Amino acid sequence: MRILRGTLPNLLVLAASLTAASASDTNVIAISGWSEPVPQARADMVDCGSVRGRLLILYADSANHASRHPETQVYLELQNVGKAVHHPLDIYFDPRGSLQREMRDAHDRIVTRGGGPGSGIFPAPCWVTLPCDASIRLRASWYGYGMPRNQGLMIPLFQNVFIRPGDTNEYSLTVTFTATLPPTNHVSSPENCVWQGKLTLPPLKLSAGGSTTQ
Amino acid sequence: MLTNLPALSGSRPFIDPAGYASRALSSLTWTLVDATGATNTGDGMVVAQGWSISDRYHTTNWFQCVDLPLALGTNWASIQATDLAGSVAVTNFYYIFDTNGDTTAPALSLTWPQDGTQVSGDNFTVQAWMDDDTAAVALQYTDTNGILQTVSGLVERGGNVWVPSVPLVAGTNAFSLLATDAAGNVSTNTFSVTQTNAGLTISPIDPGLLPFAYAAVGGTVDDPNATVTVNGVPATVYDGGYWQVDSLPLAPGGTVVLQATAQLSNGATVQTLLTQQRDPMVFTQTYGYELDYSLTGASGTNTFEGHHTQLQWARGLGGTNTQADWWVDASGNVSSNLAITVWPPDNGYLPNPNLLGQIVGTSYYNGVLTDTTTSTSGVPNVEWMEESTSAGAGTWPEQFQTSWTESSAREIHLFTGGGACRQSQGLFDLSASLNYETQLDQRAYDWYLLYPGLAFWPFLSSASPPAAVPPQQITLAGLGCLDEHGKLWTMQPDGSDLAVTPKALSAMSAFPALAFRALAPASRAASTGGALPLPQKRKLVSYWAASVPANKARTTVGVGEQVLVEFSPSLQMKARWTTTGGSLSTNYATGALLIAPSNAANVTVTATVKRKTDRIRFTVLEPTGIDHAQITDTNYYSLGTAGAGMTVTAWVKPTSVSFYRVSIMELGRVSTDATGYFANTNVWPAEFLDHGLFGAGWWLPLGTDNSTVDLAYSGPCDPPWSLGSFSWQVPVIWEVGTSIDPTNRPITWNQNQAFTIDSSGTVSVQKFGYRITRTTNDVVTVETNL
Repeated sequence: MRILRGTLPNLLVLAASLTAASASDTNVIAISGWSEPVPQARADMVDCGSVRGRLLILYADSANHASRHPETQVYLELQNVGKAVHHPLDIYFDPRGSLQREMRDAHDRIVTRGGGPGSGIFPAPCWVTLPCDASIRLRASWYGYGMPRNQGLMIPLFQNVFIRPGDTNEYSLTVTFTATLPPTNHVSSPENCVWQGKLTLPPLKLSAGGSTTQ
Repeated sequence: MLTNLPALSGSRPFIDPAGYASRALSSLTWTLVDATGATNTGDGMVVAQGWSISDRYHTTNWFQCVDLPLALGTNWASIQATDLAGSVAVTNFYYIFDTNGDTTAPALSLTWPQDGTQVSGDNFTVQAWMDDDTAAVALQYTDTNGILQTVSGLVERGGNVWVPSVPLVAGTNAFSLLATDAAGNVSTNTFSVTQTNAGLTISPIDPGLLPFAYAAVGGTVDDPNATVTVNGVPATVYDGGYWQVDSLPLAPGGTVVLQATAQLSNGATVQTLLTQQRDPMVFTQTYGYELDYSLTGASGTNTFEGHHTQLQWARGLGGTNTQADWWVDASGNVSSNLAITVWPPDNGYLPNPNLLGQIVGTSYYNGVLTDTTTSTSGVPNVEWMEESTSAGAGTWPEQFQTSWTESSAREIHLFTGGGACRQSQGLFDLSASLNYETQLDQRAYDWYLLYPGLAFWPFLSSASPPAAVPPQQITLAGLGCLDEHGKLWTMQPDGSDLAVTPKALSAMSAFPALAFRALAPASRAASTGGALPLPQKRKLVSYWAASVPANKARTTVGVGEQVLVEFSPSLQMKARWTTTGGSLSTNYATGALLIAPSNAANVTVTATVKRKTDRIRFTVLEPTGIDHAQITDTNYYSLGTAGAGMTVTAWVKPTSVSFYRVSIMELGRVSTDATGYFANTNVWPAEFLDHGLFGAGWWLPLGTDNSTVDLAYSGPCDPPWSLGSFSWQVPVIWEVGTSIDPTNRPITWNQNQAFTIDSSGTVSVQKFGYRITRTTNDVVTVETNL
């Protein structure tokens, strides 16, 4: 049985989404609710559909990882919930620049605490194509980063988040995804639309305690 | 009989046994069992043959076998020679390869460019010579990034050394040329070259003209008032800066060298050098014929008539043609004519049509000179036959009393093309055809009628219809007999010149004494069934999957690299492939895919075709560390935040190979040297000292250029700030592939990632020889070469 850290509303959201979205994820730390869909229309007024997103935080080992602790993995899941079956969406995903996070404490104050040093590599930006009624899960965290379950909680977005062990406070983590055009040209297929917009993902309630683990 | 290995011991890793046999050879092979027990075999070559116009079979044949690879210790070698009658002679000997006591470094002399030369262009070729052609040569220089580069040179048998495509940058370029022999003795020749903006170019010679001894050579020079020489020969400089030498001598061999020097009008001297490789070719080495006959009692009088014609031509020596005839009338008066043609020496593989023979003709009457004429003659051209020797005296069908002899010969050679580098060789499929000649004696009367007023044809004519010699009866000098398809496969070293004259074994048996009666009904000879086709040379080549380094022909490779090995041009038959290391997939139409082993090794891939083997040898290297690195980004934190970071691209060495199938891993270690701020767990959690939690333990695949990207950063450092430092020791392991259990992998190199902070929040991060320091005002400084 999964034991998820979070408030009751969030747990309800997670319960609704886990069966489909993360049935294979055996070490879920947290999954946010879906954001509001953001539509996209082309200049010729063609309806290109809408995109919504959510955040997944997992304990797992990816193929290249061979450390003594599992990785803490963060994924942004995007879903094309529109009806424009003939107009797949091209989305530029830059996990460093287009994902912003804000953590607040129980008093709604922004927490600026540092997340620690590091080395290694971070996922590179890329274009993804999302057809109608399709989802995609995109790696949004440092490769090879992971904190043992009893040593606090690490959320290794580019601006790392760390909640120390023994910290009994509860925090709210809000992540936004803003898709913009990259500095270089991108040639889409004629039928495709380039989706640009901002998704504000529902906040996650997090703490450092063992309740963040299964 | 061996003639060049008197000591049967030495400190060089190859031997080239040479010697001679007392008769013409039909095949020559060698076998070597080295000191490790490994067996190598190869084809030898007949490099020269004694020339007897009357007996071409009992002549001395000089042979050579090259590149017999030795192992340290006692090596056993055997040379097997078979003559045209099938008799086999074997010479066995032991050769001791021992480098102990060899303390003499190779004598290395720089040919071009000399120290201080001003060279035009952005790259150049180094030419040198050394007295040990088994030594290795390398050129070292420091590139524009400050990285010491080492480039291997090519060494030809005989000692010529080449280092092609050496990059030049503006200003003075310093180089070290090193020669290292098998004993480890090193010679060093340092020199510098100055790149000049003054343009001086040499246009490549049309490859079709390279077989000749002379060629027109041209190029350009920026200064139209310059004087230009090529290989020391003055050129004519035309308006616009084009220069040309109309007839430049070209030295024989596989590499044609053109070195141009321009004396500019401002007093400066600029040089450049161009090398070109000659392609394989079949050419005539020597030929000649001789005809003597006399007639007596012609028309029932006492008139006597005699004729003598003799032509001899040899590559490198030129030739002479002597034609003499004389007669005696019924009164006893003697008239005679003599014409002597002299062709100048011609070192080309094909006779130069511009080297005319000079003819001096003289006429005498009773010993008194009556007339002298001079004229010229083109290239002598003798239609070839294997053997045509007759001698006799008898009655002509038209009652002439005659005695006469005639013979002809021609020696065909194969030049294998390319530079004569050690163990660089090619697979040749040679073909030839011969026709029996049966009409020798029946044509004698025709000669008399036709000579000298009409075209004279002193040789045999083909049977009608032509009677072909079975291919298995045709031998190509020391290379053996053709197969049933009329082909002969041989593996021969590049840059070699060997005899391939076709001979018919059956014709040999028809001429046991090689002196026979002219009218003997059994007399037969053989002539070529047509011109010998151009030789087809195939080389074993490799196509590396990695796009970097650009050298696809390299034989030094990274662990795990994949390469397709095949013959070029491709074979229309399957070869048998084996390898001494790594794995080999032969499910390819034209070659085999080698996957280099996952550890350092020397690997030999062998292809066997028609019992001929070719080998390509690879040196497999492992990653050894970081070659160099470059910062690409330092923009990590916002104004007011304490912290520093850098994105670094680092290249794993050696960069002369590709490690595109290699992954490296930084092993996580906990810092044990934290001080001050970083030891204060109130501001810096203890977890932050454990590299294993922050990026270590990840298999990072390398790019084809061996690059990897690393983001090394401190993270935001929360106030209050104070002096402090800590470091991560970073052992690095590697493996071919990913998802490998790192537990038992050896640590190959160690690196370090170090952090400091001061009381103002200025943070530094150091890694890969860089240190980036950043203030809270976002002032970033980078230090290098740490």
